[in-house]
Amino acid sequence: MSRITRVAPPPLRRTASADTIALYWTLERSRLIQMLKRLHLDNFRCLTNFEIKPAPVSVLVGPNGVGKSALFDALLALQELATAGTTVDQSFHPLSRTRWDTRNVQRLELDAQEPGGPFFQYLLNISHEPARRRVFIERERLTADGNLLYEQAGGEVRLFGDEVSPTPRISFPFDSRRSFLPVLEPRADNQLITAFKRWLAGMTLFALRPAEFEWSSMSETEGVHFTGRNFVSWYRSVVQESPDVAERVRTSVQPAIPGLTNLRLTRMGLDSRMLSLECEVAGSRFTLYINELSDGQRCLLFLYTVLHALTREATLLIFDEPDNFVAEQEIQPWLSQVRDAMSQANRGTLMVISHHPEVIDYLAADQALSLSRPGGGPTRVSEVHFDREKGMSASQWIKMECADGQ
Amino acid sequence: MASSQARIWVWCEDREHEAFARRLLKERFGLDARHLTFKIAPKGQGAASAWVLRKYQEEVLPTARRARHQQLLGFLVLVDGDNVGWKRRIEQFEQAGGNEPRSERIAICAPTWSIETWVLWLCGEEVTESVSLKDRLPPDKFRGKLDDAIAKWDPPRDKEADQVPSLSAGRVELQRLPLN
Repeated sequence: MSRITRVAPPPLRRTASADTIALYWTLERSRLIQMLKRLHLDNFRCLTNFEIKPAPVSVLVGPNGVGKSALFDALLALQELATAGTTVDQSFHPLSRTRWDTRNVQRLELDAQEPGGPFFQYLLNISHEPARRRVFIERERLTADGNLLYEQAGGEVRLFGDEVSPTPRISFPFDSRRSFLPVLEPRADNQLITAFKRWLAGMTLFALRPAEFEWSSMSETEGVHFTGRNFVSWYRSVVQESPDVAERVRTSVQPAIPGLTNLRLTRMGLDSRMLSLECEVAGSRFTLYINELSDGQRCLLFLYTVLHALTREATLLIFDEPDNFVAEQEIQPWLSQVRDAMSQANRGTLMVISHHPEVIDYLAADQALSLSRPGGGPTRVSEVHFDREKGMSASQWIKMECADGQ
Repeated sequence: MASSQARIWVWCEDREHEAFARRLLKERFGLDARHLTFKIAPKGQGAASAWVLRKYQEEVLPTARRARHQQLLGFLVLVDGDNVGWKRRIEQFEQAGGNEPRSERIAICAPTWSIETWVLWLCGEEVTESVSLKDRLPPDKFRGKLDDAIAKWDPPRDKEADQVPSLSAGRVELQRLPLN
């Protein structure tokens, strides 16, 4: 299954046509809705009637198997369905239903808003018919300030446009195994839906597996795989678009890669490129290739590329244990810069799933959300309310709460 | 400029403290993110100053004792003076350390009423330490003022010692850190 998060919007072609002007306004307006307010999931793995209201920056904590990664996977599945055009059975496999739940409908709700901007509410109901091995969209709906913009139900799509109207501007039959959102073209009269689509496309999720990073790249790709697998291909695209990113990444990772003087894409064939690192140690010059780096160094290269290339565009940036593989002293310098970039550049949402005390302690100053599964049942989430007068670190407090079985 | 090997550990109350200290140490003393480690009070109930005080006793003092031979490691404690005042706040910390003299590499800065007072003063506004000015500089406007404040860190404005004595005292405290 392809799990590529699309991150870079297509470049604008500035002509004087009305459509172009409308598209420009779409892009401008899309920046108004970059805050995730609420996410509700029901009947997705261990997430039953699960609701989360993240602050602009939050850390998700909890023991193994409490649903942190299930939350991550649900958002990836939504993004695939609503922006990449996968079929619903690919993104929401029948086995993704909660095992002990006999209901055949999965439900996902998502609210997003920027203060003063439109309040978007998205609903997705997925129906499973095990007997017929059929999975389909029972209902998909998007509203802005309570006004219906888009609805897909019963194999029919209804588009209302930006103007408030009790009746759809257009309705037509559509394959109920797919969302119509990826197909919808931006137009002057659907700016709100387009803005929401861009918000979804700006969701960027990572659970890095540096051992799976490909060593070479045959072509540039705008999207980056959530594991970082196609890092070199994505990096090619990034530095093609913004050559300054290469120097910023080099400067950032230099302390972790002694002697690093330059990052280069070395030609290995007609189209193939390898990411090479030119180093100089004790007067001796040599080249390292990405496959020769440690897992931690590969992760740092990736994490700093995300910092310098993605934080301006990401609407919701989620890292599942970014601290894996990385030395403790490397975590806070990167994390503080990502946090700053996200909160300053576009006021997007940053969520980090972590077990690492360094990450927990640093981000608990914003918000710590604790996930648990009492009795092995559905996941419950609660904001951790620290008693600061006790003087404990957030990670110590959470460890104590876990020990108490709370 | 600080020595490239200098490391500063900072204990503070909130993100505004962090932003101020990070920007000040970077812009005025040449320390970037890799030279700084922040320990910030978690979001929660109770006074953040009480959290910093507990950490001072349980982490700052023992760590400074253990690291007494590491000349390039400094410790900065940033805690609002609030209605207590900067002098009394620093006394509280020194008393919490018992009779042991404070390590020369521990700096305690107590912006009074709060860090917002310092930022507004540095930006050229008239302030007083006797009331909270947090309403004049809410978090969403704080970052916008910070660049200007840090740019005007040196030289101190006239009458700073009279108008914002906690800032004058803070400048003296910062000299304890291995920043030069």
